[in-house]
Amino acid sequence: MAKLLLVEDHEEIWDFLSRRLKRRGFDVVLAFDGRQGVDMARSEQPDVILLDMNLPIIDGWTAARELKAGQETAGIPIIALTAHAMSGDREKTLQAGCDDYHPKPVDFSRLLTQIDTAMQRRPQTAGE
Amino acid sequence: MPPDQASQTDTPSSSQLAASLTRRERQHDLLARFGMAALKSTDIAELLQQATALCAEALEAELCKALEWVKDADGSERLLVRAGVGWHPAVVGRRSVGADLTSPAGYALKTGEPVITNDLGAESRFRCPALLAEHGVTRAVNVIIRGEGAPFGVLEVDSSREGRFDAADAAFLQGVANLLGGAIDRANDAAARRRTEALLRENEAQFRGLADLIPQLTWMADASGAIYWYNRRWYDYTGARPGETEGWNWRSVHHPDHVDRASDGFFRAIRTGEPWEDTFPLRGKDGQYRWFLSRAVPVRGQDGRILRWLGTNTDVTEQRKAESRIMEAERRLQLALRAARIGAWSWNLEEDRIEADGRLREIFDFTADQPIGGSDVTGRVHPDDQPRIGGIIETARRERGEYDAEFRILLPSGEVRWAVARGVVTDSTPERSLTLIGVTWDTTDAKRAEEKLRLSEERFRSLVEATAAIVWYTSGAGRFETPQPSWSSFTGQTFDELKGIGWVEAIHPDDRPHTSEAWRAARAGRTIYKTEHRLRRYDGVYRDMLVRAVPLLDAGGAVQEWVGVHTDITTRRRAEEALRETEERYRLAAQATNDAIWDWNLSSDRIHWNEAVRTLFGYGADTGETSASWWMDHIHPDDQDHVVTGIHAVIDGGGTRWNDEYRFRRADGSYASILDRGFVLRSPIGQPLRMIGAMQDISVRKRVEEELEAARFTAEEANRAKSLFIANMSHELRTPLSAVIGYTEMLEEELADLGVDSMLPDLEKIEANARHLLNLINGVLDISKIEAGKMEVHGEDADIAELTREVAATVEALVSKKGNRLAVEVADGLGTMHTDVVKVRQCLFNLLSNAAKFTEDGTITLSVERAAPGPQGAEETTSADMVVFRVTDTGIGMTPEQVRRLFERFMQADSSTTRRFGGTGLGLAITKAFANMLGGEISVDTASGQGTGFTLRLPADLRHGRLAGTADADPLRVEEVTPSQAARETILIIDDEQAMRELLARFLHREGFGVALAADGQTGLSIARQIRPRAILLDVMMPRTDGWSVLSVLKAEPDLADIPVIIISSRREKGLALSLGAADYFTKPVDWQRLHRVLSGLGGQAPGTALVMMEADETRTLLAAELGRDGWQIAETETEEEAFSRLATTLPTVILLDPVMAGLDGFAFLKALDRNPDWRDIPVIVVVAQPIGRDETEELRGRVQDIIPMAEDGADGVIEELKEAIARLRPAPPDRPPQERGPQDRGMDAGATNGTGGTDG
Repeated sequence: MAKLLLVEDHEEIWDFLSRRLKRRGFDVVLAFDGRQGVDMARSEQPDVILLDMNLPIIDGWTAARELKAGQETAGIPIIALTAHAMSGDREKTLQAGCDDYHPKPVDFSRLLTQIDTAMQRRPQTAGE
Repeated sequence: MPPDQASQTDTPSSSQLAASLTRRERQHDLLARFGMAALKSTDIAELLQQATALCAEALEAELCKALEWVKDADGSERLLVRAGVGWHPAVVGRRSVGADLTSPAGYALKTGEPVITNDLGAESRFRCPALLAEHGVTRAVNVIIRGEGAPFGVLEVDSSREGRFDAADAAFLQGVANLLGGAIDRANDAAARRRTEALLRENEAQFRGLADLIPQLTWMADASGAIYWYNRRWYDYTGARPGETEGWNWRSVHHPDHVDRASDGFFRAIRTGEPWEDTFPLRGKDGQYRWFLSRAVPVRGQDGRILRWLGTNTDVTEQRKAESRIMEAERRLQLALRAARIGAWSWNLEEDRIEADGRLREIFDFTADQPIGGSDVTGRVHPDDQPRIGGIIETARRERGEYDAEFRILLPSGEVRWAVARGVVTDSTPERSLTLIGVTWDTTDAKRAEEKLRLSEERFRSLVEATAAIVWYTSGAGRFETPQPSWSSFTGQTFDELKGIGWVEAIHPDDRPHTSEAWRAARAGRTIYKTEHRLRRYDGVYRDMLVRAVPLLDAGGAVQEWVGVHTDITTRRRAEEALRETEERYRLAAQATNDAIWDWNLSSDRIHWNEAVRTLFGYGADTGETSASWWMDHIHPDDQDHVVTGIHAVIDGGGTRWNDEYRFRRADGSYASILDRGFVLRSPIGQPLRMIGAMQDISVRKRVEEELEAARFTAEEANRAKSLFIANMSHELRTPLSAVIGYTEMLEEELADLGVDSMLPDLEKIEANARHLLNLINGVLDISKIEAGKMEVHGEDADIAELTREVAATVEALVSKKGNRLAVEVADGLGTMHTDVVKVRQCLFNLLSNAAKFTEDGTITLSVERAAPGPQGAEETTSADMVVFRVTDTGIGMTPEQVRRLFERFMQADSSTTRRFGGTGLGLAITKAFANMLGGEISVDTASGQGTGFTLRLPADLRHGRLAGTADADPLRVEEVTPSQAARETILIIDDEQAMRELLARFLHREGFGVALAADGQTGLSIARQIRPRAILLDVMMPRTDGWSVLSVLKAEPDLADIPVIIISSRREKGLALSLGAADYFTKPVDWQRLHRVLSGLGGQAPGTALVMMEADETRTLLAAELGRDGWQIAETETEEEAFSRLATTLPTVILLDPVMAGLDGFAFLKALDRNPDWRDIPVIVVVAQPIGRDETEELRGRVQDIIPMAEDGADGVIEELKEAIARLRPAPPDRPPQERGPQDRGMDAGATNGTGGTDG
């Protein structure tokens, strides 16, 4: 069973998103700020991280850079979740190390596709 | 050929055929050679002679002649033999044949048809001309000689031998005649050109010679006395180069002993404003000094202020020499008289014995003791004087009175002496015999002195006569008592008419009082007589004359005679008046404006200012005149460099006009924004003398401009801020909306799992509305981002077919909702494109959902193909590979009005649409903006009720496939979506500034042109090569390849060189543009009306012929040159006769007429035009050199197309206006093609051309 780490501070969002993901059979662990997200990623070793960008403590971009810098977490694909559809956001998330990008509001079926894609790519990424 | 002639040819034998073939080949060869000769030569006589020799040879005939069509004074016409071979002497140049239809040559002339006569005697059509009969001619061929104009004459080959001329012979002959016609045209053109050039030269020489015609050295100085102009005689005499003696440097040619006196006097005159007169030596170029009488008078303006000084230096060396000779002669006379040898004598007449003293014996050369008789004395009197002396003596003896005689003595040595004898007859001697007693003295020396004096006077007179227009002499009392040939030849007065005071009749009545007064005063004071008056010339024209006369005094101080000189100063006076008028106008203009007018004397480096320098900048009264550096010092330090550089570039570069904007310090230390415009006054040889200009205070305008700019900036900032706010706001709205949608979807899933279907439709409604709200917010967000410039493009590779199918799959459900069918047409081998896939998807999605919304139970088609690069139309042309998506539907379609507003934000077909179909009204605006961002474009093709088709055209590679000029999000040009309006022709716009491109494109669309756009020079050139636009609008200031380079390349490539290039620049470099080959020049902001006219002028047909009827002056020359540059044929005439003869041969496209010119009554000319149906419709543009009255203007209004007054700023303005006037004529060309003759003439030409068809190969 694939394990997802959802890092999201907005209660309603993590609530319905985690519930819907679980309904689809995912094992979902939650973190509510950037620091916790990085720590959880190390300890839980999820298959994919869904990372909000607007986070307390440390923001999503910083968290992404730390994850990609850490040996244990570098291979975990990150899908950035962001409502920041302003110019440069996409570039910024990818530069920060995120592997994919999902603008809010969540298009659930598209997100599922992106998760699948990320998981399929994972062995390759890990192999590098 | 008429069939009866063609059928006369007998069936030839093979040997005849061979001979005929050889003959044809020979003819071809001769024709080709003559063609070369005719092209090279303009010597018509020589060409005619060559042609006749050649034709006789080629047609194996012994006779050939070239006939010129001559119209005699009585109206009769004939064909004169101009050249020929084989004729008796005294035929060529003298004999003629008839020019009517009864002679073969006349028939050819009148009909234009070749005439072949093989049996002249049996001809019923013609009478055999006497000339042909005399030479036994039996057969002949006649063809017309003509070029573009009226026929020249006829070329005729005659023979008395056996044989036949056939149609091929006639064709050959016509070929030669056509070559002759062309050569004659060229020769006429060349002659006309030479005449024009000669006129031009003459005109110019006349102009330059104006000042040089004045016999004196002449000069002009400004009010401060610095000389800024000399006539040519000055330079000729002094040998100085222009520039060397200007200002105060004339002192360098003065005699050192006299220069200070002259300078002091001149200074005094300038201070007091009194005329100045002095006489001093000036050094000539040979180093010799000659004496000059120098006079200077102040020229005053209306306000009495001295504008400048006009001076003359008259060479009086000869007069001074004459004067000194008079003095010398007088001295010698005195000496002679003092030393006079007076002899005394008494002559006893009864005894004929003369008692004489020693002096008398000396005078008559008698020895001391020699007895002297009367005959001894009279024998020594000069034989010529003897009868007179004899008579005197006889009278004295008879009447016993006194006598007094002057006579010559002829001495035995042959020497002649003069003597005077005075005596009395008396009988009171002691012997009471009749005796003559008297004295005699020798006056030889005095006589010699007198003679020398007369000689010198004659020499002086001849000198005067050679240098002045009229020279006259009066008696001491001031009356004409001798004939005055010089006066008579000028005025036409006979001596009888002018003698006494009859000459006054020739003076203009208004000038008589002051002339009489001056003359009276001069005579009374025995001073120099100086005046100016108008003198009637023999032709009745009054000429302005400068009059000067000197009294010649005798030894006793009495006036012997007056010698006067009249100099014709009309031309000079006119120039002065023109100048005064100009200056007056200038002064008025200066008063009328608030501009600070300055007059900078470049030699003294002083600047005169008008009142405004004080009112405008607050300076004190001491700023009436300043140094040039004062001005320079008051320019803002940051502006000094460009001002100095600019002004010197104009002065040193030979330019005339200068303008610049800079800041100028006011008295209170603040700076005014100034627009300064000046022009350079140059000497005739181009030496800069003065610069005059006006400073306009544009501070207010500048401030308004700055405020406007600031306001615009603020507005833009506010708009950006608004967009940013909306973007942020939308973002904040989306988070809660995400939750709404997320929970709703989750609930739907969970309820579906639980099987609680009854609640599902309500949940679906919540979700649908939430999604609609999300769409709205997304649309607003996108638009805001686009407006705020925050939208970015991210290129990635995508498979085109896959992308298309994916989009189709996404919208399938949506489309099918209203019973629509979605058809997808994907071409094979589409490959990949590199673009922003998200945006492409969104565009297609928007188009498809839009189609779905407005279509029910129909078909929506999504198709995609690759468009090969190529010119399918202006907008499609690009070097890039394009991918074309089309979304078509069978829906309700749109009206043109709907189409027009289609891409505007928040617009839907109508407000009811929103209720019926939903939607945000933003989709198409976003789609269009995205299309542009991706380097592509979108267009629509629709009609109400007939469905709609959108075409999205995108470059296959975003990185280098931009559609020229569509780089930024710009509102869609309305015209692109109205295909009903067929594009006239395509015009290419090359401009790096997007706003300018858009502005121009919009304008051109409205004008009905297709538009191609290029944002830089290189792209522009490659587009130009591909599509060969009708014209190119070219910006100058562009990065990398600038406009000048583009223009140079365009003009260097033969295929592109003919495309008219119109420069649109923010700088004034018209001269450069035109010299590089630009067709026209516009400065920004563009004068749209003028652009409209210029573009109308491009309307297709080549310019025609302009008949220019104006005075041969500079304006006409410039005008002709300008129009010629535009491709016009120019015919220039100054007289009606010439104009009519030109009209008879060629109908001009337009006539440019100055109705008020010498030798032409323009109004009568226009009436004459109206009377002729062929000429009635020729457009006439009137160029008025002198102001004309209102009535005349009204009269012209009805008849002519335009009236253009001669602008004050010279020919440039006129030409500009004229070009525009001509452009206005363009849209409605005359019904019949201009430049061509009537239809019947055309027919003749066609026949002639057919006749030569066989020889062309």
